[in-house]
Amino acid sequence: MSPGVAAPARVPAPAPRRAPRRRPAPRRAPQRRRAPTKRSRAATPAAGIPVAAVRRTAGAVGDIADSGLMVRLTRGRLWIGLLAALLVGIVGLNVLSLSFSSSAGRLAERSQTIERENSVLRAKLAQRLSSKRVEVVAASLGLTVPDPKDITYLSKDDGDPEVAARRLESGELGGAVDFAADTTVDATAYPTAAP
Amino acid sequence: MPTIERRIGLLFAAFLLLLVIVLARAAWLQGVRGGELSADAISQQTETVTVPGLRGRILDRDGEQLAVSEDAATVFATPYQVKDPEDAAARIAPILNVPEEGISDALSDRDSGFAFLAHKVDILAAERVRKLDIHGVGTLPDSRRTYPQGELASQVLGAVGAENEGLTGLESHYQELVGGTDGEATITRDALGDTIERDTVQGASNGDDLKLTIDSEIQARTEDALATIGGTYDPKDATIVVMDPRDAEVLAMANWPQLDPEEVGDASEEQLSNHATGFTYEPGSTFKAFTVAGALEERAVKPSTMFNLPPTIQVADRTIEESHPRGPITLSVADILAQSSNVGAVTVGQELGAEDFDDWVHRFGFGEPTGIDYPGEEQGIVLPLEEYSGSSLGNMSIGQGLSATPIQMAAAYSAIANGGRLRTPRLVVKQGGERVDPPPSQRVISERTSEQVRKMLEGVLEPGGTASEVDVPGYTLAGKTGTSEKAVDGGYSETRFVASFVGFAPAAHPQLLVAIMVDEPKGSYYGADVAAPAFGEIATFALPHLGIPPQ
Repeated sequence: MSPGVAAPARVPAPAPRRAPRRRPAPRRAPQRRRAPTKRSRAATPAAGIPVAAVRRTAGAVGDIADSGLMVRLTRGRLWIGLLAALLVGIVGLNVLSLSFSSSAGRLAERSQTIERENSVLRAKLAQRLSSKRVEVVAASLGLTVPDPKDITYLSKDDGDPEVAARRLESGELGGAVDFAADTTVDATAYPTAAP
Repeated sequence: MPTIERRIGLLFAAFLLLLVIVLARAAWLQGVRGGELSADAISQQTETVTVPGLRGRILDRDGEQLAVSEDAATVFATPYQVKDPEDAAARIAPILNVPEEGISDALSDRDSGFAFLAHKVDILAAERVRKLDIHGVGTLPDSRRTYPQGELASQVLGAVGAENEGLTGLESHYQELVGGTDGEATITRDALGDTIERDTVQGASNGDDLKLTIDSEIQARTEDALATIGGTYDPKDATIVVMDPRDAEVLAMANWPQLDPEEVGDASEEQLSNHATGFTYEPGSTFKAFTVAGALEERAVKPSTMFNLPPTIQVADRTIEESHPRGPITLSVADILAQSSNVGAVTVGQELGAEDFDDWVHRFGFGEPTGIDYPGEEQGIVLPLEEYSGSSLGNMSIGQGLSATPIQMAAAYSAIANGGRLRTPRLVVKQGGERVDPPPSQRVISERTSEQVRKMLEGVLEPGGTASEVDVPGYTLAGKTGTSEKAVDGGYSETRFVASFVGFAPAAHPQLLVAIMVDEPKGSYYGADVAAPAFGEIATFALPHLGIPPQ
């Protein structure tokens, strides 16, 4: 080791060159894309939805998984309750649907039965209203078909309708009649017969 | 920590294995056995049922229901599925009101896969059977025809078969209109047998209503009158047609013997026939009115023309005599009709001549069906002019040697009664709510001739006439009696007769016409005795009933 050789002075090693600190690039406003001179394939009406919209939607859906609500749900016990509620809802809907179908079927069956019973009742009613039966009942009440010579026929004069109308109105013939009133007859009301 | 992870791993593996098993099973059930199981499920859960389409109603002219349909059921069994046939029969028979042995026999046939236990039973009875819940016994929907008026107009209405198809009468003639169409529905049931779903595969459609010209009250009186004849003279068969001569609408058409429309299986041929349209007979003296009408129209005679009539008249090889022997007599044409002189009618026929006589027979519609809206109408037999023998004109002038149906007689007499127009008789006024136009009429004789014959026929019911005992107080009647021997083996029977009468009222303006035919009455056989009184009986009720005032 020679004395004339001076030991190199210890100099601090130069600091490693730091990469020049870059200022964060100012956010560039999203460049507006120029409208292509030719329509891009994705944006053609044939494709239906533009590519950008699809990307945005996909991004939004992807973000749901990272959303706070989902994180809290999946890391807590709330999701168990939520799933249970969903399952109960699905089962409930199915049960309701089956129940409605069943009710509709039962009602259709019932309607059919009632229609059939109606046809039987109509036939029975026709039998009860048959002239043969009515005649028997009438005879039991003492009513008979009059002999032709017992029937009196009246000849009419020109003034008769007027006289009849006047007598009806005055109540002389079985109670007054209000000609202005509704004279609809209740077809369901059965006449009663007294012996 | 590793132990926990290992356990979780095992648990996961177990769940995974279970999931694989479930998926494999699902794939097996749905992929491999899916079709088979689906078919099984459909056959077990779904049932295709027939929904009966009811036949339309048949109504009388006033809307009275003569025939209606109602739902019913057929009870069936699958005998080999019935565990205790004796017990099942003992429970079912009282409900169906059938002998227990019949049910028991049907259920005991273990080789049989299907047996009918009862057809067309009341649905309430069928429901009671269903509620017995006997395995192997079931019910099928069906319908049945009922007749609220019982036997009224049964031959006219006709009968319906087991498949609800019209077999006879109007039920058959208007099958397309009245017959309903059955539908189909699929019912899906759950494991308990309750209905989950009901799908209509094809809707059932009910038949249309048919409104008749028949007046059920006049029909009932007519049947009563016929029953009186049946009870008194015990004929082989008999029929009465009541008609409004103005428009040839049939107000009543009755037959003897009567028919229970719900028991047609046990009915005889006579009961099933509507003799008014399907029976031909030699009309005898009732035909003389047409001989006279033709002669008047041809101006061969006048009502006052007098004839010197011998006791008998020889026509070729045949001697025609009166029904009651008499000496020579002088009678006017009117008297000939009133007294029903055979010799006189033959004489009038000879005045008319064979060619004109044949023409008039056809003009009045004899020899061809009237065209009434009823199936199986007979046309009668009229000898063609070229086949006339020497005695044909003489025979036919008095209604022998030709045959006609009662409805032909009624239609032809209507032409005399209504002023001379021949109309097709009809039984239906409305089909499915739509009015049926009356068929066109044709003039046969002049109003003058019509009036002259009507006047002459009044004499039949006046003192000295053959039906003078028939009377309806307040009304002038007209008509003609007929008694004819039945043709048997190329000759005429001396013991078998057809008694008939055709009458109308009021004589001057007829609104009611009654034609009566009684085949082979026992005891008396004269039309005046057997048939004419029924005219009086029917007219006594029908004239006031129709609101026809006395003169």
